[in-house]
Amino acid sequence: MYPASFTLSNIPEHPEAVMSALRAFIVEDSPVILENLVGTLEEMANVEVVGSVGDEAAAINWMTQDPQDGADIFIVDIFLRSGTGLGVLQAAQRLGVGARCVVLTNYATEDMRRRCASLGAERVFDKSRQLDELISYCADLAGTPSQPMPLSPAER
Amino acid sequence: MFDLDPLLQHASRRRLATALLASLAAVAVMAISESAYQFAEQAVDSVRTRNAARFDALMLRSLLADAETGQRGFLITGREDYLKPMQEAEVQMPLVMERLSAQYKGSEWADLVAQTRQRAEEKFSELRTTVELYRSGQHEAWQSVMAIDYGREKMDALRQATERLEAHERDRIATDRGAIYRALMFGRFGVHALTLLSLLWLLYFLRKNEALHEARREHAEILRDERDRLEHEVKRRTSELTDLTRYLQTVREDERAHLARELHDELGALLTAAKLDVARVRRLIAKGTLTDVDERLSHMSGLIDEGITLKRRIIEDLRPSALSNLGLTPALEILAREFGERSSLAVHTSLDEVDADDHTKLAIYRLVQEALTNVMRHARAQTVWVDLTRSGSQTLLRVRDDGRGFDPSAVPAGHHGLLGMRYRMENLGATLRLASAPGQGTEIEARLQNTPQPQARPDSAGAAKPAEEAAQHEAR
Repeated sequence: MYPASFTLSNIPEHPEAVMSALRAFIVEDSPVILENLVGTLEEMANVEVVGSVGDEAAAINWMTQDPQDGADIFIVDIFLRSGTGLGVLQAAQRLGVGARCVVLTNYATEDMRRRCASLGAERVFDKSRQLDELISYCADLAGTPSQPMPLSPAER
Repeated sequence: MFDLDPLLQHASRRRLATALLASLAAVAVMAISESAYQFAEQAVDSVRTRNAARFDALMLRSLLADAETGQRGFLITGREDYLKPMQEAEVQMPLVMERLSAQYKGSEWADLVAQTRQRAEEKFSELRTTVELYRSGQHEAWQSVMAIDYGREKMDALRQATERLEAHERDRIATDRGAIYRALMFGRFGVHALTLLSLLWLLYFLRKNEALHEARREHAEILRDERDRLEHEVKRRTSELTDLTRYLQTVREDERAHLARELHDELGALLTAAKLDVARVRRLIAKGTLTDVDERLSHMSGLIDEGITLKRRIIEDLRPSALSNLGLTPALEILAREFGERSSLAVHTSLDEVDADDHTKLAIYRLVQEALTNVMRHARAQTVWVDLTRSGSQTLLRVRDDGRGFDPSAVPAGHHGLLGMRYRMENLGATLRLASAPGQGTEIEARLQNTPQPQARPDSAGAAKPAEEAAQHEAR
């Protein structure tokens, strides 16, 4: 479990406007990516990473413990150490998991997007091109809209 | 191998000789038979002639005796019909005499025959005279003629002569008969002998024939064995090659999978992380928190460095730059040193400079790589020795370890890797030898023939080179 790290530099003082962090559970097998992802999300998007695993079985295991309210969002990679993200999505559907599921993958083809959507994924983000979008998405959910600088033509 | 040809040649030469001999034998039999027949025919003719002559001699005597008896009868009785034999003799005697004269003409008996003729004529004239005298009534005259024994002398002489002739003819007949027997004997033995010889020859021929068949059978069996052996060998080789092909394809796919995984897992992750850093920097700038930007950029630079390192490693794994840039010996030294560091084994090298073409150098490098990999995986050794020596016309590579060894007759671990090496060596005209015993370490030895090569230039060694060259440049 990662410690929550808030970088809320522009939170208003009103109690009812206190933004609670978005609790995220990450399914990603690359330690390098995971580390950097956690850092980025927690710093830039008001996310609290409540847990992370590298394979399908462990993910399902975690989900089963508290399907309804274990996390607010699941960020799932497709290619895992064992099993696949698709299996995780399927299990999430089956278990009636309350959180949203989004996919972060290097393999975001049209076909894959369709399959993920049909398995209940809200969004699919390409790991190479759509990292900004993911950050923004999480920030929006967390209630602290965060915008990067406008995209350059090359990145669009 | 059993050589069938001389035997066949021998047999065919023999065949000509045999045919010749057979013909000769047949001709001989016919000749013997024919000559025996001719001879016997002659002898039979001769006998016939002799019998005729004998008969004539007897006939002469008989005629005269009959004539004499007739004369006596006539003289006693006076009856004319007693004279019939005389008349007969008068007619027959000349004919007989002619025949006898002809028969003995020119022989030693001719005189005797002439004498006989004379005697006969004298006797006959005596008979005639007495008959004439009687007829003319001169009885005392014919009695005195009778009394002087003239007739009797002549008759005796005649009898002796004819007896002699007859005896002679009898002898001659006996001789002739003997000759016939001899001829027949000759023919008979000749035929027997030839029949026997033919039989012997036939037996001999049958034996030789049997020997020929036996030889052919043996030959066929030897060929069959040879063919079986070759078939077996071909099967073995084919299955070996099939194994090897399967293994090489598997290895290739495995290598590709490994490479893909490395690129994806490690390099991919670094790049993604770098992109995250970029995203963060951009947001920091947008927020205006510039103090953290430097930290982020630093971090990103580190990621890129890691990426470069990784890329270098991958490339070195694919094709060592040292090999084509520094040479085989330095490349092997580096390989050995890195292996020692990775595996914590003691590695001793003794490397001569080797003059060979690029394919050979690469093959040697790979062989050492494979050998060292096997040592690390299976040998459980403490020390490894790598020797590359050049002696005369041969280059000798030896990799030895002091590990646990294995039983060469059982399939060794790392078998396929070394089998591939073995074929690679064979393609270069080299030999690979693997020696090991349980508890006694393992030694791999490769012997290559030295073919002096000109120093290979980068663009002269084959199609794969340009890609490698590009890879080498990347690595620097």
